[in-house]
Amino acid sequence: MFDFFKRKAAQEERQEYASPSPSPAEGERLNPSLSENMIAVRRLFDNSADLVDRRITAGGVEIAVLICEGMVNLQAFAELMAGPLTSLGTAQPSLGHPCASPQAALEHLRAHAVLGADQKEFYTYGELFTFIMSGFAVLLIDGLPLGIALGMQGFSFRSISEPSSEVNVRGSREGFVEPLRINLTMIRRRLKSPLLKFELATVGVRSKTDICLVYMTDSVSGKMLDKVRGRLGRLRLDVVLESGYLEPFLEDRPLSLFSGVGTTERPDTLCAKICEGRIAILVDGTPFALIVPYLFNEHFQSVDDYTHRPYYATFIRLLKYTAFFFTILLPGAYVALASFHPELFPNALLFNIATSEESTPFPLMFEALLIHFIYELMREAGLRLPRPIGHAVSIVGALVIGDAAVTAGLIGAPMVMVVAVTAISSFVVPSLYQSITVLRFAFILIGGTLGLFGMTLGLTAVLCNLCAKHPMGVPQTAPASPFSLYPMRDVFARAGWRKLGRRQMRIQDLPGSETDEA
Amino acid sequence: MLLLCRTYTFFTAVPGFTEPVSGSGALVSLLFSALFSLAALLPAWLVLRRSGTGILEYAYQKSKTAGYACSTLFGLGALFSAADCAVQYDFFITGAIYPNERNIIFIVLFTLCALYMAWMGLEAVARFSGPLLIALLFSLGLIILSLIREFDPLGMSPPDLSAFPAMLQSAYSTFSETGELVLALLFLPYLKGNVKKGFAGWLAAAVLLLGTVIATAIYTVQDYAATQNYPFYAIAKTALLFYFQRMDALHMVLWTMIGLVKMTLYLYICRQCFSNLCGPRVQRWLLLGEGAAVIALGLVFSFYLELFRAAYRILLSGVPLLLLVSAVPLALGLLPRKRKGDAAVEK
Repeated sequence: MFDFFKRKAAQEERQEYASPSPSPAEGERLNPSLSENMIAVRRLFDNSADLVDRRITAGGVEIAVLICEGMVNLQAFAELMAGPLTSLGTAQPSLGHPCASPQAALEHLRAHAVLGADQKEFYTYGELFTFIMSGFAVLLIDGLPLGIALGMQGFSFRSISEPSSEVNVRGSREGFVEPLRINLTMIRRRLKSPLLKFELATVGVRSKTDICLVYMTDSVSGKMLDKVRGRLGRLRLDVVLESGYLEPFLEDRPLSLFSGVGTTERPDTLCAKICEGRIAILVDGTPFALIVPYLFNEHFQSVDDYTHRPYYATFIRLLKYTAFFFTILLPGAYVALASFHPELFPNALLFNIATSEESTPFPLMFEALLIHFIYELMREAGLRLPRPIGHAVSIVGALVIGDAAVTAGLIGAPMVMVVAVTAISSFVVPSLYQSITVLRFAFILIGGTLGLFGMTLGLTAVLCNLCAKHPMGVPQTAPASPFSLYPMRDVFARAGWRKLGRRQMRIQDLPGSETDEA
Repeated sequence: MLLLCRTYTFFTAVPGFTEPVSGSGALVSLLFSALFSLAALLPAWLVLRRSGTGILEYAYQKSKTAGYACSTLFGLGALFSAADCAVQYDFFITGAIYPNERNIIFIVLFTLCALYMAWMGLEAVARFSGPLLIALLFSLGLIILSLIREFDPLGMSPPDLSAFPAMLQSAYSTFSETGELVLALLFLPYLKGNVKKGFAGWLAAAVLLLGTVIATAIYTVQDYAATQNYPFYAIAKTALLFYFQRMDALHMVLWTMIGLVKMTLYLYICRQCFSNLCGPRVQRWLLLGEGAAVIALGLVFSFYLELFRAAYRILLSGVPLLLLVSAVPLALGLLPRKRKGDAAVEK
């Protein structure tokens, strides 16, 4: 019966969603005739406004120059292409100059366009489009069934700036930017080692997005690398615009509450991670790099931990763990205790809560849900709006939630306090914000309906879900469980650099890892 | 995991309060119960040490019928233990924490959560158990710390040697509640490292942990705890630490989690045993079936208390435990090994 439903679902999927496939014409090979090539290019491009094509005759050979408007650095184009094309143009075929034939023109261009370091030859229309749309200048020579692509990208992009999602006190202020190549140079500048490897690939049938696997050949596990390559190889997506599109394909349990794939905007963080045997995936067009596998304790680590004194870094770590549990459990626990187990509160506190709740019309659970819902609304609005208006929304939110709601007798003052502590705590571990938000609402509902008993069941299920995760064959809760003493030097407490630097730690050496090659 | 399961039984009732001996005698009886456990597992150890397999595999090696019989016996035992676990928890929660609530909610939700954990797999539960054990030890430490001021040296009387038979009787009833021996028998052959050391370590840790719990009760609030259905919960209720006036919430949370771990283990064992009979393809459905059976059994037991008492009396007699842990391995040891010709026919 189960198989029947599976077959049915697969059949429906086949019927409703055609799997993305490239246009058949893109696989066609280039024609030796330039005119036919140009007709085909215009037809496939469908006379798109941004295609610029110029036909020139140089040295008696007809040549077409194709670029995508706004994507080529015109100054570089003039410097790199004008010279070779002019010298080709002044040559007189009648005097027996070698440029009399298309082949000779190609050789001439190959020899004289050496300054264009990124020079490639191609044979199909598909490649031609990929190069043009990646900012290459493309040359087609009449009589030759191939084209030459010269890398002279000149599109505008955001300059390197401080990453907005990972702000630090000490250390580099550089964050990744959108173009892939610039991000690669940022990594290479930090790891001047031949062991650092960049592996380029393309994903997305239509978008043909460049992605790059980054790893250290001496630290990475071969099995893990094969797993990542395999999963990315099997990826069937039409368009890939952000690294988040790839994330579910790298997950073992995509429906789990916690992700086994991390993200970073910082090149220094990425370098540290790959030196421990992890694999990073950079995607062209986004400053967010993916890191696999990503363990649970890594959400509580930041670059600053390694520049602070160990005792302070340890204090901050413990603070982060406490904040995490506070933010998911505090509102639910407050509702559960106040609704079902008031005897657990100390008398003085119970009296204050009772006095405050007496004047409000709603039950505690509804109050908590309402105020958290309003808070999430404010947050989302503040996030999407332009910054000055966002600030205004925050002020209105603070006034509405903090003062007006209490004065109007809609919400008790202790609840406002609980929400404030919860909200602040949730920003301490920003990478877990998605899980935190959902869990917080879930625990309020459970705590309000089933009390501490329900909270305990919920927490057990969540922890078990976390313990069941194996991103890329490494237990997500390692090295705390399964326990290993040496890697624990950088989990709850951060040891000093003398201890940290004593031995290289590789992710595949953690206990319970399936990718261990020993 | 096994250590946590062992503590679950003791949180329900501390020996010495419900059994014929009290005071230091309860501590001595605990040592005797550990010896009984060792003695009960001796036949299994003698039988299995050469085969290098678990009891179920050993049974299948002997004959298919023996394998089926063993799977059924252990599967049913695990199913009953899971239901017992749910009922014990239900009694605790409706008796001590939510006296006005209906049993059905607790049994159903508790079982569903354990089913989810079993579905997540044994590895996930094992990983969850590590931090849970640390949390348990930490909370025990907190409770003991908070009860230091109640320490009463009068409780430190030496055990009464004339009550030796009563001590043995108490030790036997403690042993009969040690259902974890079945789990140990099924799990230990698969453990890495020195199994003998592992088992001895488990036994010693259990005695130490439970001894601490009993000693805390004896030397602090003996008379009060003796009047309670759940003595250790009562102790936690009276514990005062700094601003917090009671620690029963902490105790309840940990006890629920430990109960879930224990029930998950039994559900897992039950699934493994029955999948030997039905084939591995129905494992998922088996889990659902087990869940339904445990809920049904738990509800029947919680509504018909006499029935549960009768079943519990059988359990306390120690016969089911001795049957599974000692008699079955002995019987398997006595069975003749399957001949090569039989194996070919069976294939």
